Amino acid sequence: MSKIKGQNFRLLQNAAAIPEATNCSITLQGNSEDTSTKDTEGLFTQETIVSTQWSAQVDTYQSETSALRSIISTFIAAQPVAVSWDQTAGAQNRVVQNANFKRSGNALLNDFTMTFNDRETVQLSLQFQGTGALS
Amino acid sequence: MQKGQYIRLLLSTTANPSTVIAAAKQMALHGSAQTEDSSTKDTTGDALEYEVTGQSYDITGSGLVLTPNDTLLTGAVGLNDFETWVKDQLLYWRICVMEGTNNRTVVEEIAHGQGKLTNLQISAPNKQNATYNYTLNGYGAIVPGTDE
Repeated sequence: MSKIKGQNFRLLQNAAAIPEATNCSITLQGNSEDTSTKDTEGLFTQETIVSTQWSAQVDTYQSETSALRSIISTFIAAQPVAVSWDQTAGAQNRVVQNANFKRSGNALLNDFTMTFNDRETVQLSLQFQGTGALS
Repeated sequence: MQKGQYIRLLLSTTANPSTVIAAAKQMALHGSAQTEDSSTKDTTGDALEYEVTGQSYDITGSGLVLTPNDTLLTGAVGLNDFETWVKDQLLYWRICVMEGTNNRTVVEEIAHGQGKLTNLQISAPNKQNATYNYTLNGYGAIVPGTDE
C-alpha cells in the first residue's frame, strides 16, 4: 500500500503554494434535483445532477503581516483568483508534481478569518468559492 | 511565527485610534462575501459561475475585566468604554502589530476601518476571572494597511 500524506497535498493561489498551511481541502458538489414523476413507481426519489460547484479551504499559520494585508486586498477586490490543488514534494513541499490529482480553476475568496489570540500563533483560515469549472 | 499577543485591536470614537483594549485575550477578524450564481443559459457546461454581490466583516474578541483604577486602563479601552459604546456609536478601529512595554507601541498597521459594537457579554463564573466578549460589526469597507 502506497499512501499519500496530507503534507503532500497543497492549495496554490496564482501557482504559488499558500505558505505555512496546516490543512487544506477541496470539495466537489453536484446539485441534484428530484426528477421522479407520477410515472415513477414506488416512493423513492430519482436524483439527477443538474449543476456542479466546488470550493476549497485552507488553514495556515501566518507570520508575515504583509501576507495578511494581501489577503484583505484580495477579499476587497472580489475578483476571481487562480486556485489549484496539487501533489507536492521537495523543499518545503513546494515543488508541484502536476500529478493525476491536480485540479485547478478560478475562485472567489469569499470567507476569511484571522485569529490573533494571546500566547498563540496567528492563524488564518481561507475559503474559496469556485467559479466556473474545475479542470 | 507571529504571535497573537503582538497584534492588537485599537478602538476610539475618533479617527486613527491609538488606544488598545486593555487585558485583551482573544481577537479575530472575519470577512465574508455574499456570492450569487451568475451562470445563465449562455454558460457552457454544468459548472456554476459565481460573482460577489456583497461583503461584510466583523471583529470578535474577549478580555479580562479590570477594576476601574487599574493602571493598565490608563490610555486604554476597558469594559466601561464598551458599555458606553453598545449603541449606535460609530467607532474607528485599527489592527496593528505592537511592541514595547505592555505591547502598546504601534509597529505597523494591518488594517483599519469603522464599525459598531453590536454585542457585549460579561461573564463572571465562580472562582474565575470575570471576562467580557464583544462583537464589532464592520461599517463600510476594510482598508488594508500600507507597507512601512
